[in-house]
Order: sequence, then structure tokens, then C-alpha cells
Amino acid sequence: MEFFSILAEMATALQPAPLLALVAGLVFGITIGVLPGMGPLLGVVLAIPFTFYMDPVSSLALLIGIYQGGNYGGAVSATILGIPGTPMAAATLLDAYPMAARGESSRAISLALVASVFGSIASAFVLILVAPALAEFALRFGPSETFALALLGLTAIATLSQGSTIKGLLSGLLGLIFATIGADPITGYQRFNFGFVDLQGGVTLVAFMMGIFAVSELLVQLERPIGTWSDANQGSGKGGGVGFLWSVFGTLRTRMVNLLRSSATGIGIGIIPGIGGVTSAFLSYKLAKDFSDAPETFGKGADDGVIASESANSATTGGALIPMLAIGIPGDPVTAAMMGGLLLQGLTPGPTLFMEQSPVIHGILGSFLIGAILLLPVGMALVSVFVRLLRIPFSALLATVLILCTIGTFLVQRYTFDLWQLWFFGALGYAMRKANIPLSPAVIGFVLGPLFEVNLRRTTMITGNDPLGFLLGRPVTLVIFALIVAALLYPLAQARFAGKRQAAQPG
Amino acid sequence: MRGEVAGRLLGLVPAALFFVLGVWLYVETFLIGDEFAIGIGMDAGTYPKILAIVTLVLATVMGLRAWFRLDAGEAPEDGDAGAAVSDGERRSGRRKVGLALVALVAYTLLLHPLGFLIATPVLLAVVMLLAGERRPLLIGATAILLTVAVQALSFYGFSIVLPEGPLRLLYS
Repeated sequence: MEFFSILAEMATALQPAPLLALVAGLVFGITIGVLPGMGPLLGVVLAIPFTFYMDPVSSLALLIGIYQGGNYGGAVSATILGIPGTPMAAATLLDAYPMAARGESSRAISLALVASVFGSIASAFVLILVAPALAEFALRFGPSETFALALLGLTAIATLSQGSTIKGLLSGLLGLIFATIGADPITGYQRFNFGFVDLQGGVTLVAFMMGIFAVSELLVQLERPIGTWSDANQGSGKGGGVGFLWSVFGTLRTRMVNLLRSSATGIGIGIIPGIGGVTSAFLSYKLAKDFSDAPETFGKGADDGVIASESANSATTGGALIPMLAIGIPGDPVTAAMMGGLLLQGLTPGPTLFMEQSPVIHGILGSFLIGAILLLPVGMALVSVFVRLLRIPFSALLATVLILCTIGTFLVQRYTFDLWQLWFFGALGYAMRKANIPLSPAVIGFVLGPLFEVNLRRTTMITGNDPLGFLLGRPVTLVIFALIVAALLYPLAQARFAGKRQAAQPG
Repeated sequence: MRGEVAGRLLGLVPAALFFVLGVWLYVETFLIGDEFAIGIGMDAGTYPKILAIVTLVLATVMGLRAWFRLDAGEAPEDGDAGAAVSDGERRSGRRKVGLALVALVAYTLLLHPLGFLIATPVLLAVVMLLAGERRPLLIGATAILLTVAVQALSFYGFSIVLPEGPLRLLYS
């Protein structure tokens, strides 16, 4: 495709509707990122039902804005309260909070903002360059490769994320099982609908995601001792008089190597399913410390610590979108939720989307780049407002989340049955959290379920009586299967390595 | 000793539930007819049957690991195992979750008879009370303002009429 026509399609993101959605997404994303216990995942999940009424580019612009804004927002509460607003901001806290303690809150937040913008812009360029090329390559994939890729995505998220591999795999299976409810995707035969007409179309995607992530979060927050967070809010006096400091641009000019290294780390980790922003932030932090001339300053308010963590976790966003858009395999729960948003629009992410809906795809890529740029003015202009958000009573926030969940689920189909599903999955998500079963594989399993089943069954139709012979003629499928085996063996190898290291330590 | 039993149960109970799910799913797949089967490849029942078998295998492994405490060193991801709360606080927390679930069920049952504008502020007020809020003005103002804002958004923004209940005169 011609360069200028691609550019023209990307510029659709500058039209009023997508631009407005993008700015709204950034503001909402930063807001929800600032509030401890919330985060971009909850923001994206809460916003998805409202995207149902938008055009595809605007809807994805809204979700992208929330993703980018939410990733940065966590740094604000990490600085002011010493509580990371999002898990990704935990590494930022190590240096941002000590900076705030010595009266440099504005400097810490400004550094975090500019580093986030840099990481996001770097990942936007990689996304724009790599995603179309990967999609073009993936066009050669048949059902066996697509099935193997879906299996890889699911296995990787279950095994590479924190916690028990078995529990992760069972969680993914639970998602796949819920995805079988309703009409069989090949023959249309009704399965497991328990006689409910409302289940003939399957479990409602929005009710499933909102229930598992948002309602279960609300129940967990309710369970905590009263005042846990509001005490922290009211106890902090460091929020007063925070603003943007222009002098951080000068600081960042001298930290280019750190910025580039951390952004590259974030993008690379983002592309690999299942690892995500937390690992990229801590890994970049460690690399920055290892390469620093003054490693002893880390943890005591070092600029490089904030820069490394924030640029890496923001760069992860673009990286994570690459597999979701190009091959239809989400790399983390946020992109799985965004994939849900695309599916709700009737668009299936993957290589064919690049061929058939080129203006939409380029509009989405353009939105990502523009969102990364707009994060700077939005963050600069509203920094003091975002800090004041930390004074909102906790109970009012829970009420807001609850009403957004309820109305969001109801608006999609206007069925009361969807509300029953919402509460059911909320209770299920709560039980899973109590049993330390990760939630993300269940949602990714549910989103990938139909793709997984259809391509597995198509593969069995094509292979006939000689599946081994067929697979031996598909080198890409074999390579993906090798990666699946590696993903399954990785936790075992890691545990063995950790055991050996422990045994080698004296005492 | 008590902690060890609790730790073992934390693995055994979900393993047992997954096992029951696997058995149920396996049995259910035999009820799936194959009148639409196209003769080659998997039919509609085989794929869920595979999922059931994998679930049974993994649930067994999880159960064995929990029984022999091989999962003791696993880091929790979404759970609250690390939270330092007393037994009393934990009991109170569970009571609040139970009450919240009852409130959600009652809300869904009463949404159509009472209408969105009446049922929703009550639900929000209950949730705020359960979250520990005791300022009546804040509870009332938040519950009513949020409900009216959402009602206005759906009516004027999306042209969707939410359940009206006895206040249907307002809509005309």
C-alpha cells in the first residue's frame, strides 16, 4: 500500500470523533490509574459497553487512551501516597516516593510523565512498523498455525504470569469451557444452554469480563477493613501544590541511553504474551541500576529509577498490541479486553483485518501515536486535578464502579439475564481470587475460545487420518508447538534454577 | 498446624470443584447429538470432551500438589493471602461480601418492578454503607447524582429507556 494513503488513513484519528474519544480515554485512563486498586484493565473493561455505540476507530481510540493514560496514572499515587495506583507503578514508587518525601513531588510526577510519553511514542513507531509486516506474514497461516498460535497465547499467559502454572492453565480452561456455551461455531448445534433462550448466543462477553474483573474487584475492596485507603488518602499532605516542571526536559536529554534502553525493553517484553508491564518496569529498573554510575542512589529518589520504570511500562502497551492486532492473540488481559471491544464491533483482529479493514486498522495505529503525543499536554494540564482525585471518598468510587458495571452490561443487549451473568461471574472471579487462581487466563481463554475451537476442528478436517504427516509439512506450526512446550517447561526450569541457587547459598 | 490445614484446603477445594466440573462436562458431552456432524473431523461434542479430560487431569495434579503441600511456595497473583487481617476482620469482610451479593440479587429482581430510578440509588447506598461510609448526606448525594447522571446518559446519549417502574410518567 502506498505510503501517503496509509498516512491519510492514519490521519482519520485526527477527525473530531476519534480525537474526542482519545482525549476522553486519556483523562479517564489517568483518573482510573491514579486511584489505587483500579488501573487500566478496569478502565478498559468499564468503557467497553459504551464503545458499542461508537464507530470502530473512535471506540478503539477511547480504549487506547485509557490504556496509555492508565499506565501513567499509577505513578501519581505512587509518588503522592506511596501506594502504586497500578501494579506497573510499583517499580516507579521505589524512587518517586523518596523524591516526594524530600519535597520533590512535582519533579517525580513530571519525570514520570515525560518518560511515559517517550516510551509510548517509541512503542507507537514500533507498532506502526511491525504490526502490518507481521500481519502480512500471518496471512500465510492456515487453521493449524492459527490454532497453535491461540494455544501458545493461552499457554504463555497461564505459565509465564505470576503464580501457579496449574492454576493458570485451569483458569484458561475455564474460559475455554465458558466459550463453548451456546451455538457450536461450525454446525450451529446448541450446547450447554441449560434451556435458557438467552444463552443460545453464548455467554455475554461484556458480562463475563466485567464480572470476572470489575465486580470481583469491587467485592474484594468491600471485604477489606474499613478505611484502609481513605486513611492513607487523608494522612498524606504531600499532594498540595503539585505542578508540571519544564526543567525535566533538560534532565531527560542527559538520560537518553536509559530512556532508549528501557523503552526497547518494554516493547520487547510487551510483544511476548503473559509477561507484561510489571516485569518490564522492574527489569528496566534493574538494568538502569546496573548500568548507572551511581547505583547507590537507586531507591533513594534517583531520576534514572523513575525514568526507567515509567518509560518501560508505557512502552509495553505498544508491544502488547502488536500480537493482538496482527495475529489476533492478546498478549495481556488489557489487550484481551480491547480485543473484546473489537469483537463487539464485529471486527475480528488478525491478518485479514489488515486486508479487509485497512482504514480502521490504520486509524487505530494513528490513534495510538496521537494518544502517545497527547498524553503530554493532558498530563501537564491536569496534573494538579489528578492529584486532588486522591481525596475522593473510597465508598463513592465503589458506587461509581458498580453503577458503571450494571449499566454497561445492561446497555449492550438490554437483557436482565445479562445482569444475572454479571453477578455470577463476579462471584466466580471473587472465589478465584480467594483461591489464588489468576483471572487473566480465564478471560483470554474466553476471548480466544471460538477461534481456538474453529481452527482446531478445521485442522482435524484437513489432516484426515494422517495428522502427523500433515503437521510435519507445516514448519511454522511445529515451531509454534516447540514454543508451547518451552512455555510449559519454563516454570519447571525456573523452579529448578531457583532451588539450585538456594542450595548454593551458604547457611 | 491450623495454617497448614488452611493452606491445604486452599488447594484442595478448588481442585475438587474443578474435578466436579470436569466430570460434569464429560458426562454432558454424551448428551450432545451428532445429527449435524459433517462426517469428518471433530463433532460438536468432541472438543468439550477434550476440555473435560484436560480439566480432570489438571485438577487431579492440583489436588495431589495441594495434598502433599508441593504448592506451598507458590506466589499468589490475585488473591489476598498476603493481606494482614485479623480473624474478626476477615469474618466481617466475608459478611459484607455476602450482604453485597444479596443486595445485587435483590436489585436484579426489583429492577423492573421498581424501575432504575428507584432501585439503583438504594443499591448504591447499601454498597456505600457496606464500604464503611457513614455520612448520610454524602451517601444520599452520591447515590442520587450517579443514578440521575447514568439515566440521563442512557436516555439522551444512547436513546435507551432504562426500566421505568412506577415513575413511567416522568418519561412521557
